[in-house]
Amino acid sequence: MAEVRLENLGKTFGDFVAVRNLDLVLRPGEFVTLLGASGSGKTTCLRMVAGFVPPSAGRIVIDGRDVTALPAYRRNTGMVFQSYALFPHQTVAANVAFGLAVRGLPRAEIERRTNEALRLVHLEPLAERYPSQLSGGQKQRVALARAVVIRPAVLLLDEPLAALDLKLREELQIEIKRIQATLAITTLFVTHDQGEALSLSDRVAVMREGSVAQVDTPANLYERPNSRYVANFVGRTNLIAVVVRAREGDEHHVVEACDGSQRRFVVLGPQPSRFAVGERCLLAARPEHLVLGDDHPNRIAARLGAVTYRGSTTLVEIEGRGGEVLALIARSGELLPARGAEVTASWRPDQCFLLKLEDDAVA
Amino acid sequence: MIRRAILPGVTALAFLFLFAPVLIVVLASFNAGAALSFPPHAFTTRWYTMIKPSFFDALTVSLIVASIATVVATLVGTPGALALARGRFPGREAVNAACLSPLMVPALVTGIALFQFSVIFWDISGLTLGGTIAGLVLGHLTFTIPFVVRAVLAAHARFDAALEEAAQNLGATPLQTFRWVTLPILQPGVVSGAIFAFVMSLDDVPIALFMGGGSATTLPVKIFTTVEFDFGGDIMAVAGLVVGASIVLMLVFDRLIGLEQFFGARQ
Repeated sequence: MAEVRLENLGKTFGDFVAVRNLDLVLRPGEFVTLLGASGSGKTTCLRMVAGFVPPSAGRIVIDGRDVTALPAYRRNTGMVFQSYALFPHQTVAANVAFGLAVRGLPRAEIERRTNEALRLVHLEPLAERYPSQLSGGQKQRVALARAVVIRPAVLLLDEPLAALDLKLREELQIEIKRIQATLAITTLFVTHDQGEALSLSDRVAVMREGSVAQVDTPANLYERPNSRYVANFVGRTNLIAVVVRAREGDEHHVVEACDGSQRRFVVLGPQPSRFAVGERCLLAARPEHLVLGDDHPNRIAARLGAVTYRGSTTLVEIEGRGGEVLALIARSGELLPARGAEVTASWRPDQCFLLKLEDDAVA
Repeated sequence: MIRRAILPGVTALAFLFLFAPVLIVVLASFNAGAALSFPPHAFTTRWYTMIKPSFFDALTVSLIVASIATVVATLVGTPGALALARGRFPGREAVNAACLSPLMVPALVTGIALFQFSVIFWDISGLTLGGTIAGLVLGHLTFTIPFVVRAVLAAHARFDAALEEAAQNLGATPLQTFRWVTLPILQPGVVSGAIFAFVMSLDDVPIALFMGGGSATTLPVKIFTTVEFDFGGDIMAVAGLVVGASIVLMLVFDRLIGLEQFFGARQ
């Protein structure tokens, strides 16, 4: 249970800036995920905390102690690698006991804690097997046991489930969450899978080009992304180009569509940034908040596009006047008009938000 | 019917071709008549009792030289291979090439070069290398070190760097990591390199021919010169003993340690 502070962390490889001005605080016992695409700097960040990569700038403080200059073997972190990194020449039990043996603990205690750890991951019967005799999921559980048995100040996981198939991944996600919660170890998890990030974490830090775009709880990240990048990275978002026509305080905006239809929408609720009257920006709404028909105040006319069956729900695409493609979720079995038909889609004013127009390409 | 017999038939012929010389020599060692008369006349073991003691001296020299050369090669070659695989130092490519070249230069050329070197060395320092065990060992190091280095490099190529990171993450210092993780995993490579070096050293004729002499004569050289100048049935007996000893050693080794296990094909 330790607090981890990353202060102004930076890393440059030659010309390439992998991590820049990164500030992040992990509260004791918190499960924080670094979510980002390849090259966003999330793994570099994790490896700096582990001590395998010396930072170019900034510092890392674990449990009040500045560890930036400490080598990896003095930091008391536990890491789970994507490739498992189990010692092939040792049994499962010896692998798990390795950290304890290195610390020179008495034999009896090593045995006790090893068995405890193996019990925690439900692998006691396989204690005498060698890594080559285990399946991928079992190997990852051994890796987890090996990392937590030393009671590290912080648990680091580097895309540990990337090499596993979907079913196994979901199973192990639950395992990891359970173990982490039971032991209350501060955890830093790295992944590019947003579903994984949202389901496991107390907070998620979305990384973009070396810095944190937004760090928040999964719910806030989904409902109130602070930028187009985050909105598009976490779940799917509908975007409509609009211009602000009126404002009442910070939580009531009236915007007008830029497609020439002069259609107006009301946007209620706190916004991630300040928007001035006359400013061009984007109206964002999640697909599940749009419905076909004019039940809600914010309405838009469009043509029906592609329909994708997804089991219990159906993804319906519609094309607005301005050429934008919007997606909405309909219940499967609902009667839908033919493709190309004129339809109306609507949503509630408190179930949409505004985003700044950005020049960069979207996620 | 005939088609199915072709593969085993060809295999049998191949083995016959490979082992025929050995078989003939062993047969001849028991031949009561003149050496090299085939078919053998009568069976006798007297040649085995007539082996001159100098052969056993030569065997001792061979073993000593091979042992020292192998030990030195292992102690130098293992860290050396790791330095080559991981280090970035000036001259690395040159050292890499130097480790490969002795295996590409004919041993005879190496032997002559070594001889010349020993003469120059004597000129400069007054120390004799030729005809000494030290000189033989030095000569053999030119190929035992590369063998060990190459074997360890090969094993290292399959080594997962994450394993060392994992060990360090769990609290092992670099030295502890080397002792408990790196070395055990590289062990098959080190061992196979060492065994190869030992065998090649025992086997060597060209270098020992030039660097040895007098009391520092290795067994192969002794056999070689005796065949040239003093051919007799006892030479066959020596050869027979060498063949027998090799077979026995292989069997013992396999029984004690298991050849496959030792060379790293675990379970």
